[in-house]
Amino acid sequence: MTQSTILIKNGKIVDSTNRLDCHDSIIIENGKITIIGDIPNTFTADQTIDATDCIISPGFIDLATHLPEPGMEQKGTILSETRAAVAGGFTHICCTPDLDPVIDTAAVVNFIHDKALQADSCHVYPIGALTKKLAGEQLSDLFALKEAKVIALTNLRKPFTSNQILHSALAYAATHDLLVMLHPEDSALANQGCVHDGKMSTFLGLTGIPSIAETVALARDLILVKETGIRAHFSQISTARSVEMIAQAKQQGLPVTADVAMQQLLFTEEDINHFDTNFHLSPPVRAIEDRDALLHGINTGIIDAICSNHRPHEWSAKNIPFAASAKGMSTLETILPSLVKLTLDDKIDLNTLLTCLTHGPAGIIGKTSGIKIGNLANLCIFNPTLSWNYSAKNSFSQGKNSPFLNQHLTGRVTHTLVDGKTVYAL
Amino acid sequence: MQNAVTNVQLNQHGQLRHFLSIDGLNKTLLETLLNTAESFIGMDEQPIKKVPLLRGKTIVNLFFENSTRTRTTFELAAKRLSADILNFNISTSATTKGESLFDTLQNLEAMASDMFIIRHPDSGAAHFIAKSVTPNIAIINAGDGRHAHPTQAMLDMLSIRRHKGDFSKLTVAIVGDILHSRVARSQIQALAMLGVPEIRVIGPKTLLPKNIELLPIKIFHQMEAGLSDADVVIMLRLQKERMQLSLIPSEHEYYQCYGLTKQKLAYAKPDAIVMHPGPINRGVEIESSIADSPQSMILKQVNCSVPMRMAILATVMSSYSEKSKPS
Repeated sequence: MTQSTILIKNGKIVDSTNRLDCHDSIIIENGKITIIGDIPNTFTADQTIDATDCIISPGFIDLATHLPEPGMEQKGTILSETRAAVAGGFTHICCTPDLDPVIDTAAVVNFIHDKALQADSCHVYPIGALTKKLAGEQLSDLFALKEAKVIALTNLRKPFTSNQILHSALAYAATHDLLVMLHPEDSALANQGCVHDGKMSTFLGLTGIPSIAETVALARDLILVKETGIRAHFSQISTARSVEMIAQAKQQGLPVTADVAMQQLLFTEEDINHFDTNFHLSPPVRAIEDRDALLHGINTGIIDAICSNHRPHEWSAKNIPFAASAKGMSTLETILPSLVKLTLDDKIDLNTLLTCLTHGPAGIIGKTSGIKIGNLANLCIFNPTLSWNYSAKNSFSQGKNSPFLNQHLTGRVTHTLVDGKTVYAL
Repeated sequence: MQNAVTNVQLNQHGQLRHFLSIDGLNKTLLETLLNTAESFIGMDEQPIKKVPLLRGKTIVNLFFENSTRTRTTFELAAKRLSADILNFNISTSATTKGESLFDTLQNLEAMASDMFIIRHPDSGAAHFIAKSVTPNIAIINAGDGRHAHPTQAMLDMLSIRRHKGDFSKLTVAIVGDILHSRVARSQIQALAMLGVPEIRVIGPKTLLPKNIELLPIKIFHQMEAGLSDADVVIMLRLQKERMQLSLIPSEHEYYQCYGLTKQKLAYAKPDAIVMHPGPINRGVEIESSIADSPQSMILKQVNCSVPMRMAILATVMSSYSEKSKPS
């Protein structure tokens, strides 16, 4: 922790949960926010950040980052991807367990914690595997994982060998008051598809993943959540019907939350037009009606958070025919400008967007966040009108698999502070 | 329909520089190809069965999937145009041994090839190669996954035109597994582009793709209604693996519902022609006696295949010599 003082001035503080929407200065001492308000001109700080034209937001929190280390360092490392995270305004990221080895033992959790400390960028919260090797057969040692401080448990989209195993996993996780992240997908219905089963799958002859692959699994999961009382977070829902089902579950008082990945808010199946492998995604981007329903879900609070579903890949994993290419998009560094575009198009307002990147995910994982006196200074400062070119040269992520590569974007993170330390400055 | 590939397939003068899918082309182009193919018909009865149009050009047949008739007709077409042709049968297991598709193709490009004829099990493979791997080599799509088989569709159009003449008066019914058929996708696009007013597909719901109603077609689930007054009946091949996924119960039941029997063919016009891209499964898709009847175009389709493929190879290659001329 730094012992210095930082003054952030001339910026606009936006933190809806703490009812802040004002031009004020912030002083950070010993890592913590100590003053929000008018600062006398005579005040001198060790470091001054001039945030003219910028918005000061709580740091972004991601619920689903695929960190490729350990095991897939050709795609990226904890160092490279946490640097990408802070360049994108993230102060906390939750990393998924689909690594080699899988995060199913305390040793892997500790390895990631150690590497993240060395990288010295943002906080990394590992998500443990519900079943050993994510094979869906045998429960991981969930209590040991809890002791090692995993933030949640998940089996991602890997199927359980039976509903009995899934039921047991949820009941046992509830015993230890763990949070479970469910990615509903019936693997048989998903049929090893690579795009939404709709217009483009028909035109391009690509195998489709039907919407019912998600909704059938979601219906089953919701019944089991009610049965077991598990705290369940549904990650990366992608269909209009899923939004309705989550809304109904919340109305019934089930302990559920949900997020959507940024890809599902920005793109639709139409974008696959040229067999562009950047759009080989899991879950797939679906029809326009689905995208609109997901935006509606964000605007009405049915969906609590937006996640990155960041998956960096090496060049050769994406430069092969569509179905054979690796799934995923590198997103951490472009999430802010791409979503700012949605605010300019009046699809979503800025406050809602920022809530879905900050307080929304914080609430799900039980962390406090926000710009408040006494809180550690985890902040993202961004200029919403700054135009820039996202390129292989200025990107930190090892994965260049982004449709935004070499595109002009509007809105850029200028500073990221983690626990009162400036870890990224433009 | 999408114009997904216009900019990949055509050069700045609107000429064909690759032949990847029917989608993105236009009626004039298709008609020119058909006319060129007509001019090659009958060449195999001449004492010298060759023209020197592609002399000095090197064409590589790159087949990542098994094929006999498509590969040999392309080979014959290239030889009749006086090109040099190399055949590579690359099983996908060989490419997974280490060398990526990208590297395999770049190696072949380095051997000064002018054109690749590509069949690949992945949808979009031909586009990927044309766009990202070897943009300076002409690419002919000889079938990619479930996506497109445009040369087959064109030779079927040639057969239809030779036997039925005017496309604008026809009712064409396509029967069977549309979902998994690259041939059907390309045929539907070509028929629509050439002005066929009524294109029908007939099959069980499990073998029709989602959102198929977005295509310019009418959907039928019964043969009787679907074949009624049809001029052209195109039967598709049924593959054994469709039974394993429970998309249909059995070959027997499929034949009962969708097999083309004399009785069902009677619903079509008396002079209706029957087509099949081959290889045919007698007694599964089609009654044996129909396959051998005068109404069957199955062997005549094969006769159209070399002239049509010659026309496509020659047309695509000519856009490259045009390009080198000062404009």
